[in-house]
Amino acid sequence: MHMADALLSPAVACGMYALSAGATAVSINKLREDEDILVPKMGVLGAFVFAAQMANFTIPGTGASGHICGGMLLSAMLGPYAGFVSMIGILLIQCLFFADGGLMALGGNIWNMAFYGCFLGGAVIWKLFTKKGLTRTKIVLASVIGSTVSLSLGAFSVTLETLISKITTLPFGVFLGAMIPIHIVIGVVEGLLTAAVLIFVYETRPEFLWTENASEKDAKMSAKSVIAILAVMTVVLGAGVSLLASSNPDGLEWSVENVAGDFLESAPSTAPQIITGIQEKLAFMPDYGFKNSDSAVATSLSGVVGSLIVVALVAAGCYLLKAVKKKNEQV
Amino acid sequence: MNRYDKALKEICDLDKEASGTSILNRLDPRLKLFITALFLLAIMWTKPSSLSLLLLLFIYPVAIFIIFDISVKKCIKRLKYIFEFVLIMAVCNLIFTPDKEVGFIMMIGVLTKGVLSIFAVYFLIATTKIEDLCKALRKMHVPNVLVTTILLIYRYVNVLIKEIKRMAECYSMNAVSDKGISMKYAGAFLGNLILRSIDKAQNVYDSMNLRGYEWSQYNEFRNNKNK
Repeated sequence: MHMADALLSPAVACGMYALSAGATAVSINKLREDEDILVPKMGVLGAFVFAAQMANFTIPGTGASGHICGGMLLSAMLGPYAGFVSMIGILLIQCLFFADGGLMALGGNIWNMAFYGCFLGGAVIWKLFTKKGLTRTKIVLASVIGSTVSLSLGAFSVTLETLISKITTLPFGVFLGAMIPIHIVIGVVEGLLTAAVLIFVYETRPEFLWTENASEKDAKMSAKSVIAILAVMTVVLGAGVSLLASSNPDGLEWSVENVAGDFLESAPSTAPQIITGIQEKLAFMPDYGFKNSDSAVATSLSGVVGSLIVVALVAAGCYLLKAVKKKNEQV
Repeated sequence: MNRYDKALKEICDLDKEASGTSILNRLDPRLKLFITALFLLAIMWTKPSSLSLLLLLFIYPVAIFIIFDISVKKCIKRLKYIFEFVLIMAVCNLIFTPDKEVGFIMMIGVLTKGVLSIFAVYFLIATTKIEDLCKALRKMHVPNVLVTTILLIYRYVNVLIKEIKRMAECYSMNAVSDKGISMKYAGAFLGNLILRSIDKAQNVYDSMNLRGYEWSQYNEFRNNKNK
C-alpha cells in the first residue's frame, strides 16, 4: 500500500505531511518521559516488523500468502505512541533506503499505514478489548477487527488522496471497488497472523504486551486521546469526501423533479415555498458550500464544518442523556 | 541463494555503494534531500498529460547517472517491484478510462512520472550512508528519539534477518514438502523470533553502550545539563 510520488499532487502531499507531522509531534511529546526505556524496544520491534514482513505464510486452501500487520502489533506491544514512532522509522527506512514509497508521499504513507493501525487499531480497538484484562479471544478479536478496519481505512485514504490529486482518470467507484474488498481480505489474514504472535507472547511473556492497566498515565488520557483521534479523522474524511459529493440531485430530488416537472416552479407561492425561503435564509451552507461560493475549498470546508457540527450535536446529546440518567438514578 | 541471503547482500551492497568517495557521496545529505525534494515537487506539479515537459525532466536523472557513473541496470533490478507497481497503476488508467485516447495519454504520463520519481530517490539512496542521513536529520531538528529509532531499526534488521533465516532453514528441513511456512505455525514462529530478537537486541544495545554509543552520551549530557 506504499504510495509513489507520481500518484499525488503537491498540495495533497503537503497536507498529508502536515497531518502526519502533527500526529508525530503529539506522539514524541507523550514519549518524552519514557524514551530511555522505550527506545531500544522500539528499535528492535521496528526491526522485527521489518524482518518479519519478509516471512510470507501460506494461506490454507488458496495460493496466496500473507505477512504480519505492523501498526497493530507494535501498538499492542509498545502502546500507540511508541508504536507510531516505530512505524515512522520503518516507513522512513523503506522510503530512503529501499525507495519503497515516495519521498514526497511519505506523509501520506505514514497517515495511511501507521496512523490508522496505531491510533485506531491500538489506541481505540486494542484498548477497548483489553480494558478488563487479556484473554485469547479478546486478543484475536482485537487483532482481526483492528487490522481489518485500519487496513480498509488506509486503502480508502489512498483512493481519496489519489483522486483529490487528480492524477488518475479512474472513476471513484471503480477505484474504491478494486481497493477495499482485497484489503478487507488482507486485513483479516494479517489480523489472524498478528493475533497468533500476540497469543504466543501472551502465553510466554505477558509482561511484553501493552494494556491500559500497564500505564496509569495513559489511562487518564484515554477519553481525550480517543476524542482527538476521532476529531482528526472526522476532519480528514469530511474534507475529502465532501469534494467527491455529486452535484447532481439526490434520488428523491431527481424523482420529484421528473414526476412534477415544471409544475413546482410555476406553482403560486404556498406554505412549503415560504418555509423553503426561510430555510435558505437561515442555512449558512446551502448545498454543502458557503453562500455565493462554488469553490472546491468552500465545499471541502463545509464538509469539515458540517462534520464538526454533527460531532458537537452527538456529544451534546450524549451529555444530555447522561444528565437525564443521573437525575433518574438520584430519584 | 535464498531470499534472506539476497536481502542481506542487498543491504550490504547498498552500504558499500553509499560509502563511496565521489563528490556526490561527500555532498551534504541535507543538500541532496533538498534537491531531491525540489525535483519531486517539479514532477508532481507537471500534469500527466504534459508529456513533453515530463520528458524534459529526464535531463536531471540522465545527467546524474552518466556523470557519476550510477548503474541504471542495478537501479532497475533493485527497484523492480516498485516499477511493477507503477506499471499496474498506469495500465489501470488505460483499462478503466472510458475515453481510450485520454486513458493512453494518462497511462504514459503516470508511467513517466513514476519512473522519474524512482530515479530521483535512487540517486539519494545510492550516495548517502544511513549515519550521514541521520546526522542530517538531527541537524534539521528531527527529534532525537525518532532518529535513534531509525538507526537502531537499521542496525537490528541485519541481526533479525540472520535469525529469521536460521529459523526458516530449520523449518524447511523439518517440512521438506512445504513451499512456505504454514499459517498453523505462524504464531510460534514469529513469537519465537520476537522473544529471541528482544534478548539479542538487549545484548547488542548493552555492548553498544559499553563502547560509548552516542545515545548514552547524549542522555548523560542531557542529565548533567538538567542537574
